[in-house]
Amino acid sequence: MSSELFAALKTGRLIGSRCKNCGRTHFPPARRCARCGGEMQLEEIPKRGVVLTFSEVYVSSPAFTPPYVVAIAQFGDFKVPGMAADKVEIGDEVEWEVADRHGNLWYFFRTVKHY
Amino acid sequence: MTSRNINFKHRVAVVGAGLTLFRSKLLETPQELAWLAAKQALDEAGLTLKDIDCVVIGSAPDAFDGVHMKGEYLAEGAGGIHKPAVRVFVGGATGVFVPIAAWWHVASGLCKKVLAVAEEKMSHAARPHTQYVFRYIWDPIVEKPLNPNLIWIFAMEMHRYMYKCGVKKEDIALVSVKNKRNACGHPSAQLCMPDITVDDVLKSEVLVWPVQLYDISPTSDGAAAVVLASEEEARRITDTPVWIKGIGWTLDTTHWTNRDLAYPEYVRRAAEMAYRMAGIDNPRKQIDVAEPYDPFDYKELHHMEGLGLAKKCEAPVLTREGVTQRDGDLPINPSGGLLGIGNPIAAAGLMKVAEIFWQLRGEAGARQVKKPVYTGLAQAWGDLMQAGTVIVMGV
Repeated sequence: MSSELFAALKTGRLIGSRCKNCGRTHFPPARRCARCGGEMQLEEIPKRGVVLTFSEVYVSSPAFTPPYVVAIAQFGDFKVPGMAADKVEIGDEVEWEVADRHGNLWYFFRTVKHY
Repeated sequence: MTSRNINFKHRVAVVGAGLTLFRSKLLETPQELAWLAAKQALDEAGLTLKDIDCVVIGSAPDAFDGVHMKGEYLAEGAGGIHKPAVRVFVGGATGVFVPIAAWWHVASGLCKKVLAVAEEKMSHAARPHTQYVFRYIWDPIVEKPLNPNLIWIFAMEMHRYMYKCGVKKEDIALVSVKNKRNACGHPSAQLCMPDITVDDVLKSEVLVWPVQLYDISPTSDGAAAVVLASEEEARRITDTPVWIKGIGWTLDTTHWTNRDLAYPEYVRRAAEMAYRMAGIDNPRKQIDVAEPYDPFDYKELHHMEGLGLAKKCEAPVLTREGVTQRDGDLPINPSGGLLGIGNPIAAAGLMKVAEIFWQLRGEAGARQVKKPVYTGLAQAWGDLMQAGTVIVMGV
């Protein structure tokens, strides 16, 4: 279902899938539930989430400029891995945003600022 | 999914083990390393290749040795020619899967004496660094664009574990210190560091925070081997066979980001399978010595908890109290582990099985644990951090 994911990114949305049988969620969206084999339906991923864990990469491949931050954040029932725009801590609130990266649309996480 | 059929007709014993040096850039070819380990295991058992019915080979990605169809290539080195030979591969979990596969060769009654050999040569073929082999194991949609390396995904797991259990870097560094010091008793060790301190670990180069250089095992070349035999043959070969009491293995989802990273479910399930077969219901009391997989220091703690050798979040406490030291109540990685001896992937896992074999026979020399030991366990972990393999052995 990657074509659906890419189509969603073009309209500024991020989608995952939920199993119609057991209710488990999956990101990236999958056609079939890996646990029970059930059919899945697409679901919008909520905009706001919480950082579950992260790492700061100092040693990396040439495609990236270290140091940079990668994280897994929980948005509703979905756990999503991605790059963070800035430093984060576990428990921080973040939002995903769609942006152009090397000519491809992709998402990244931005910390929610509380003023 | 666990095995409930535990009425096996044939008992299986380990009767010999062998191990090469673990080093970066050994001059021997992969085939030569496989043979060095195989020969030592055969010698220990007092057997020659002629006595061996079947050969089981274990090795992780082909790209490490730079030889595709590495199973066939290594089988030639290990003595598998003109014998039924097979290669098994479950990533880093392979080393413990090799004796599991060898076990079913014997337990089924198909073979009487099996030579099981694991080899890995990590320091030559993969350029510019061994980690580059891991560029091609990711989910193509979500992960590949991030160009992950193994260190940063494990850094995320370590971070989540630290957060959930309130563990400090200092607590985790104690594992590295213990294992690198333990390694000084091992003739194969690559990283014997008798004077290393927690401070040294905390001051080592930051690779991917929170992982630093001394939190990780090195890249290594090496090979390990064991000989397995049916009960009848084992009794003929030796007075001190070490019985395989339980085996277990399991796979978790490739989408590791969807998992609870603070607790290794893949180990718990594999351990439960092995414990059911071995009749173990209280591992903390019934396992005397263990070699959990420790490519990173936090993984020893993580795996102890998955194996039920510690309660959730308790492993750092046991470590701080000295329980896991070689002279402690529950010696963990008395060999020196991957952190100390080195990490030629498949060979490192089988090294742990060999260590438990020698510990249970009382033949571990300078590394022999202080308390008397009757039941031991070795465990490995691999694939996309999803495969768990466990073996329980006893005398």
